[in-house]
Amino acid sequence: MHIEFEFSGGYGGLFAAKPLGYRVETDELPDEVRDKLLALIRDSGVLELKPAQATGGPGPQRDVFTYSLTIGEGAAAKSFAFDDASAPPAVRPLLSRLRELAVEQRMRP
Amino acid sequence: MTFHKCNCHYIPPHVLGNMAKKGDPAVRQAARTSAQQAKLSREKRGVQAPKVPEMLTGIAMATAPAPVTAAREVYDCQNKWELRVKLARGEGDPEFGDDDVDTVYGYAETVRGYFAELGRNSIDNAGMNLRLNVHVGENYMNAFWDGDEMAFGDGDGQIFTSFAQSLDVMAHEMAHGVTQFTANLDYYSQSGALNEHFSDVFGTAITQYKLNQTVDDADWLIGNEIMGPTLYGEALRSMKAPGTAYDNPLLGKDPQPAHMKDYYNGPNDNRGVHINSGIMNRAFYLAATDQIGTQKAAKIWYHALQNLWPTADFDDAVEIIVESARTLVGDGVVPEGTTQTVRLAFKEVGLPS
Ligand SMILES: [Zn+2]
Repeated sequence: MHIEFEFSGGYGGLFAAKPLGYRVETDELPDEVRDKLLALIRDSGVLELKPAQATGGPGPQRDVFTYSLTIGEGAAAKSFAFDDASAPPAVRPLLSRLRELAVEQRMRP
Repeated sequence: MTFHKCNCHYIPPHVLGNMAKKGDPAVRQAARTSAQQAKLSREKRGVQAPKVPEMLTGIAMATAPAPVTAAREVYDCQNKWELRVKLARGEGDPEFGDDDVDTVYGYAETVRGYFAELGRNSIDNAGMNLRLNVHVGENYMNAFWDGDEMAFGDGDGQIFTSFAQSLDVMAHEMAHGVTQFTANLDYYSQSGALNEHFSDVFGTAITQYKLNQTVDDADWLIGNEIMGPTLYGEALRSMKAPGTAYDNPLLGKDPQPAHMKDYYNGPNDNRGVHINSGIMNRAFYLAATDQIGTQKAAKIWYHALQNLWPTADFDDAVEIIVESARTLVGDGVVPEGTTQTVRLAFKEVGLPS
């Protein structure tokens, strides 16, 4: 499964000028990492979300991380915009894991 | 004001914004309050599910409201991705025995007391309770204000330590609440950068107050207390020298400008709310260090915050902050010459533009 992810913001304004990205084909990941990620995607219910159930524009939340997420292949791919406060609770563990993977990738020498 | 909770008539936000800007003081105040309520109500609609069932709200509105006391409520979120999981320590409760719960409880008293000294009764100036959530999420490297309450993550222990262990962080987040209930600056472009700026001002002023620091003792850094071993010695922002807080392979280079000539015009970060705040932050630093001192400067900024409006830009803020300085000189709160010091500080960062 193809995943494109980006995040930025928070209290620190991290990656404010250029969001930190992470792109991956899940098939190319080590088995354990892939299985956990696919389980998080399944448990998040993100593939069943309608766009309106994702973040609905600006709210009163301040210093949240903001995310863009595209999952799937070609024309069937789905894209979402989320932030920490308004993301559906079930999606938050997935966003957290993708954030970790993005940071790990950046830290790799 | 309870009756305004249901906002049935709609006035376009830009009209309210202009009314707030141009009208006489009474109209300005009324329009601003209305604009804030309309905005809040708009924001709440559909974005967040109500935390209290509608029927209960109806009952509460019909009877006398419960007394509010600016009481602290510290919640242990047990590393779940939810808020208010378990009330760990309420106002007056003994120590809970968790370092983050008890630290946040103590810091909240400092921040509440600081705003009380400025004449403010809690975040909304009506005694609302202070809801503080710790251990939010797993290894969550962030803190935020959600429109009603504060959330603090544990950090991952490597890049960031616990966000609950920094008075600077808490004061910054609580100040977002104060801004919401005063100028309610739109979180976009220059008004958004002002929103961030006011939070950094109170984060810094309250930290310096607590540590009894002079402008020379203070480090004028933001976020240095929460850096873990990977980034130790770095910070997230510098009010003294925006653009110099960090430069490392993980975060890249601090993008904050220190002058209008380096203004960030890109689309990211809600058009630079955490970026262009550096320009205003530097002006505050210059004003505070040029004879006024941080605490008197913070009084001027707080006065201005109550007279700004959601769509205010940098030039509007300069005008209102200078106006506030004049008012406080007249009241004998700050010394003669302060108006000129503030004006000069803004001139040095290229404002008004
Ligand atoms: Zn902020």
